[in-house]
Amino acid sequence: MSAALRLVNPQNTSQWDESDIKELAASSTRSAMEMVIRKYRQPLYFHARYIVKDHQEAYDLVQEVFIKAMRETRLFEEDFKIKAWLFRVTSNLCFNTVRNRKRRGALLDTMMRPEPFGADQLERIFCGEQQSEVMASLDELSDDHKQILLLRYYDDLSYAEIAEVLQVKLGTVMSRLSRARMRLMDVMQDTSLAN
Amino acid sequence: MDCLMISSRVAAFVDGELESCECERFVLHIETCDPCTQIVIQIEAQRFSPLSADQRRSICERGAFWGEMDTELNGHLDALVVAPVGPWHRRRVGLPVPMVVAYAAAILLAVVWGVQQQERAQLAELASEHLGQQLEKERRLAAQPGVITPPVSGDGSYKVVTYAPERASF
Repeated sequence: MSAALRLVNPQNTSQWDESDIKELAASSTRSAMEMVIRKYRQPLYFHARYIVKDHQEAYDLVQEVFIKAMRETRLFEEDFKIKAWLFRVTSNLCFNTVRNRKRRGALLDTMMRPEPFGADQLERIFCGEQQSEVMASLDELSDDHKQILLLRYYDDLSYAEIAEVLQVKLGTVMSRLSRARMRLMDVMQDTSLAN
Repeated sequence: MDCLMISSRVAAFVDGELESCECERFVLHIETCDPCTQIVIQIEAQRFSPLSADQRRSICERGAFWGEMDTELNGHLDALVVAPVGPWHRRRVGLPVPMVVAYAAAILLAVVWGVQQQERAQLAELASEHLGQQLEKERRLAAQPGVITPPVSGDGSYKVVTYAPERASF
């Protein structure tokens, strides 16, 4: 069996929207599921990576999300929002992982774990981003505020998509995002004063 | 729009997500309110620097980046036994067992209650019909003067009879 997903046309995943995938699901659930995986695994990996800050954990979590998606019976139903569902499940799993890690104090294990795929280069790319003042300050925020800022500015979701992911109203997204940015501003000011 | 409203919409304003009418009211307010203007300036100064699309792609296109995941998910996809989505009348409905049991119990209770109500209604109808017949009979008896026979004793008076329930005799 080939390691790569056996897909009809793997080059154009970004051009496929959810309605195309649902249409494909009517004839082949497997092909539709492969399209979902190819389309969303990269954004989900980076979303997970921003929260858990560990390649292997983010990778495993995304894999777990797709396994959950395969078991989700409503996935290809007409009014089901696949992207919102995937981001919601990923966020929940990531924040649970971070909470469990904090509880177990397993941060040292994570730091000592070797990273594959040219870890040095990968880390250099991420470190450049992690060292930015804003990214460093994000960790000081609550999960709600951190999540909404990541969804908006790192995952590039629209306000409407964020409302679907968080299952809140559009007005709530606006006010929560504003509060998150105000809080971030306070944290950044405190940090600069401390330095 | 007041200062409180401004604080809850400042991110949406900076991101260009406000409706045009709301945006106009926002601008009208910050033109005359220095503290709110300062908030907008500070929020605009926040610089988010996510990896570019090219950087992301360069990370994920490394040799076997997705290889491990593909192998794992292929196994799950092979085992995937999900009926393709067809017309509504051919779709399988997946409901949790407790919900189905609860619905079935509720329907059964409703049917039993309905049958009981129907029986009671029939009995009540029979009783009222019987009572009506009795009343009609009484009315007819009362209307016939010859039915009550006059006393046959010598003085022509009626004899008063009393019933003693403790002895069960007259």
